[in-house]
Amino acid sequence: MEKRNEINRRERFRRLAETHGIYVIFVIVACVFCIFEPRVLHPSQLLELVDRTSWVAVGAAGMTFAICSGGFDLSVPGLMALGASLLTGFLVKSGFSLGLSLFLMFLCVGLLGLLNGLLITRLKLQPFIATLATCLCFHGITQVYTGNTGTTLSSEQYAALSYLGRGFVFGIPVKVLVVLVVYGFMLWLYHKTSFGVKVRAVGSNEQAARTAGVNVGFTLNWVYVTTALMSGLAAVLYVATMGSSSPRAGDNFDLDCITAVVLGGSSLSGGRGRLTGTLVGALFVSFVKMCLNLLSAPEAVRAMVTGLVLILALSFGSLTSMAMNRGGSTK
Amino acid sequence: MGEVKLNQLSKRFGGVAALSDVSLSFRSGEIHAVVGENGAGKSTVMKILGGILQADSGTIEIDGQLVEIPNVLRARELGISIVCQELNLMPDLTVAENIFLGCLPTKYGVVNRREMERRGAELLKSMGVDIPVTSLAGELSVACQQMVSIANALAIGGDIVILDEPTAALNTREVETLYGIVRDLKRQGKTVIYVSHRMKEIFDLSDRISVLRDGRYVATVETSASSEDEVVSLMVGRAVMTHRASVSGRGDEVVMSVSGLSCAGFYEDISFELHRGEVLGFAGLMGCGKDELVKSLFGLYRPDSGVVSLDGQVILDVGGAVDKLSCPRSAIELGIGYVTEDRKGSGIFAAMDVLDNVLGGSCRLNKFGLLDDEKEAALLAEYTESLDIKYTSRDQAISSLSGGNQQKCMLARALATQSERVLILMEPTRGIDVGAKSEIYGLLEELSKKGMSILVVSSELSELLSTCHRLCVVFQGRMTGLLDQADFDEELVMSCATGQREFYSGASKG
Repeated sequence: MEKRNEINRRERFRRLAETHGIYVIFVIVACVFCIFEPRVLHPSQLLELVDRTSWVAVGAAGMTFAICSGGFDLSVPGLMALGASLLTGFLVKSGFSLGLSLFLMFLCVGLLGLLNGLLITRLKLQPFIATLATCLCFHGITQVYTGNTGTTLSSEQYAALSYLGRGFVFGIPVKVLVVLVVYGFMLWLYHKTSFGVKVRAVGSNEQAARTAGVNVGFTLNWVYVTTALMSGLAAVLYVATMGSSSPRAGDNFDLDCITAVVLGGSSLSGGRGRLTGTLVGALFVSFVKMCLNLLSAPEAVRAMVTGLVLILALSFGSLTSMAMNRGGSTK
Repeated sequence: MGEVKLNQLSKRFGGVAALSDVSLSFRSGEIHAVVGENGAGKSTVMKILGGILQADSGTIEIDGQLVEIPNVLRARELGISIVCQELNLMPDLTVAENIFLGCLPTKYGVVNRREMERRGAELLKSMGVDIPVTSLAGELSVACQQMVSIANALAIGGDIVILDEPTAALNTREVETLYGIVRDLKRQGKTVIYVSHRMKEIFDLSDRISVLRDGRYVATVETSASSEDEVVSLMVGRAVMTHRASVSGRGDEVVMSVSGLSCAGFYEDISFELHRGEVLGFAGLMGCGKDELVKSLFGLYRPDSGVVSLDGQVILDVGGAVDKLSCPRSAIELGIGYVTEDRKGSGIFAAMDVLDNVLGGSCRLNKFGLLDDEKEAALLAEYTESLDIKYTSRDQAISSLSGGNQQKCMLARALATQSERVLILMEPTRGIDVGAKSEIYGLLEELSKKGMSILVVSSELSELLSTCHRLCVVFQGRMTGLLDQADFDEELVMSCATGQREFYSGASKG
C-alpha cells in the first residue's frame, strides 16, 4: 500500500510539473535574459511588456475556451485586424461617438464569431479549417474597408481611449486592470456557470455531452462568439495603445494566443483549460518577444529562440518524469 | 406512469436493417429485461427510446400518448433516462458535474456548486457507493465510472430508466450494489428496462423478459415461468450447450515460466509455469494486481525484479539485465499475442475498416514497405473464416460491427501478428452476448488443442471455471491459490481471492 502511495505521489508530482512547470521555466528564461541584458528590467521595457501582453492575454483567454471546447479559432488575427480597423474607421471616417463605435465594432465582430460557430455546428466544418477560411475572408474585408492602409486617430478622438491605453491608476497601468478583470470574468464563466461546465463537457466527450442532454451546437456557437468578442477587446486595447489601427494589427496574433494557451497547460484535445496558466503563458510569449526585440536579434535567431523556448517549456513535464523515473529505478 | 409501448419500429443503417417492425411494451413499475445476441437490435431500440437515434418508421406511446422523441432533451422531458452501453462520461469533469450535466442546478446560468455537490453525494450514498464527488471522472476506475453514469440517469428522476448492459465493467460485489439500486427503482414505482447478456442477472432481477433476434421481436416471457435454457434458445434460435474445458490439448512441456516477478505497488513475488496447450486463468478482485501482472508479460508494465523465460530462454531478468519484454513490440516478436480488455479505448481503430483493424499491425505484408492487396485479402479471409467473423466487406468500418465481432477481430489481429507461442486475453468476453461468448470459448479450446498456450484474465469467475485448465488466484498483489481443474470450486476461489485462505493443488505446487 505504501508503495502505491509512493507511485501516486510521483504521478501527482509529474502532473504538477506538467501543469505548473511553465512558472519554473518562465523564471529561468527571465533570469537568463536579465543576465544577458539588464535593460530588460527598465520601467519603459516593462511598460512595453504590458502593452504586448495585454492584447495577447485577452485574445488567449478567448482561445482557451475554443481549445477547451475541443476546437480552435484561427480567425482571431483577422477578427482583431478587422476590429481595430472598424473601430478607427467608425471614429474617423464615420465620425461616430466612441460609445457607438465600440458598440458597432463588438456587434460586427460578435456576429462574425457567430458565423464561425454556425459554419462549425451547422455545416459541420472542422473548426481548424472553418476558422482558417474565415480568417482569410476577414483579412480581405479589412483590406477593402481600409484601402489597405492604417488609420490614425486625431488627438481628441484618441483622448478617451488613451486613458485605457496609457493611463495609470495608483501607478498601475489601466490595461493591467482590464486584463485582470477580463480574467476574473472568464474564470467565473469557466468555473461557475453552466456555460462553462458545458464547454468543458463538449470538449471532454462531445457524444457523451449530447447524450447527457447538452445542446452542443448552441454551446459551440457561443464559444466562437466569445473568442470573437475577446479578439474585439484585444483590438480595442491595441488601438488604445497605438492610437491607430493597421490592417496588419493581427499578424501572428493567432500563434501567440495558441502558444499562450498551450504553455499555460490547457489540453489541446479539449476538456481541460487553465486560464491562469494562459495568462502566464501570454506574459511569457510577450516577454520572449520583447527581449529578442531589445537585443535586436535578427529574424532567424528570433524564430529559433522562440521555437526552442516553446519546446523547453512544453517538454518540462516529460523531462521531469524521465528524471524521476531514472532516480526511482536505481533504488 | 411509466408505461411504454413501441409499435413496429424499424431502423436501417446504410444497407443493413438493424430493426424490422419491433413492437415491445413495458408495464409501469416492472423490471423488464431485454435480451438478444450481438446485433439483435437491443441497443438500437434503447437508443431510439432515449432519443439518441430516431426510428425510420413506427411509433412510440408513453402512458397511452403518441410521442415523438427527436433528441435526448425531449426524452428527458418525457421522463426517460438512459445509461448507455458505452461509458458516456466526460473524463475532464468532476463526478458531480457529470451526474448533473443535463440538469445543472443554476440560477441565472450560475451553477450552485455546493448544492450540486451535496445532492451528488446524497445520490451516490443512497446508491450505496463511496465515490468523492469532487474528483475527476477520468481518474476513477471503470466500475466507479459506470456507477457515476448510472447516477447521472437517476439524477434526472424520470419514470423510465433504461440500463443498457450496466454490469459489463462491474465485479460481483458491485453487481450486488447495482441489484439494490434497480430494486429500489422498482419500489419507487419506476419502469426499469434492463438490457444484459448475463443470464444470471436477468433471472435474479427481472419480472419479464423480451427477446430480440436479428432485429426482430421474438417473444416476451414471464421470468418466473421461464428458464435460462428457454431464453437462450429463444435468443439464438437453437439450443446452446454450456461449455467445459477439455484437457486434451494440454502438454507437459513448459512454454513460459515466471519466477519471483514483482512490480512495486501492483504485485509481488509471483511464480508459475505455463504449459503447452494450456489455458491458465487469473482470478481476483478488481485492483488485486492480476491485470498488471499479466500485462507485464506483454511489456505493458515494467517489473522491478524476477525472471521470465519462454521455451527455456530467459527473456526477462531484471537483475541480469536481460530485457526482451520492454515493450509490446518486442513481446510480439517473441510470439506473444495480446487482446485488450478495453476494446473501445485501446483495441479497435474506430475510424478504420475491418481489414486495417485486423492486419494493420501485421508485419508479414511488408514488401519494401508496400502492402500486397491480394495477400491481404487472402489473410483476412483466412482469419475471418476461421473465427467466423460476420462483416459485409473488408472496407466496412469496424465500429459498425457488433461487440462480439469486434472482439473476434481483435483476436484475429493478435493471431495475425504471428503470436504462435502465448496468447494473452484480458476479459475476452466483456460486453458481448451469449452466442458470441460460446463461440469465443470454442475458439479458445481449438487454439489450445493446436498447442497454443493461453493466459486468460477475467472478472467473470464462471467463465474462468468453464474455460481454463488451471487457475491462479491473486489477492492484494500476492498469489493465494493455484488450482487444478479437479479442485475448481467457486467458493474456494472466492475465499482465496478475498484472502481468507490459500490453496495450492498438489500437482501445481513447487
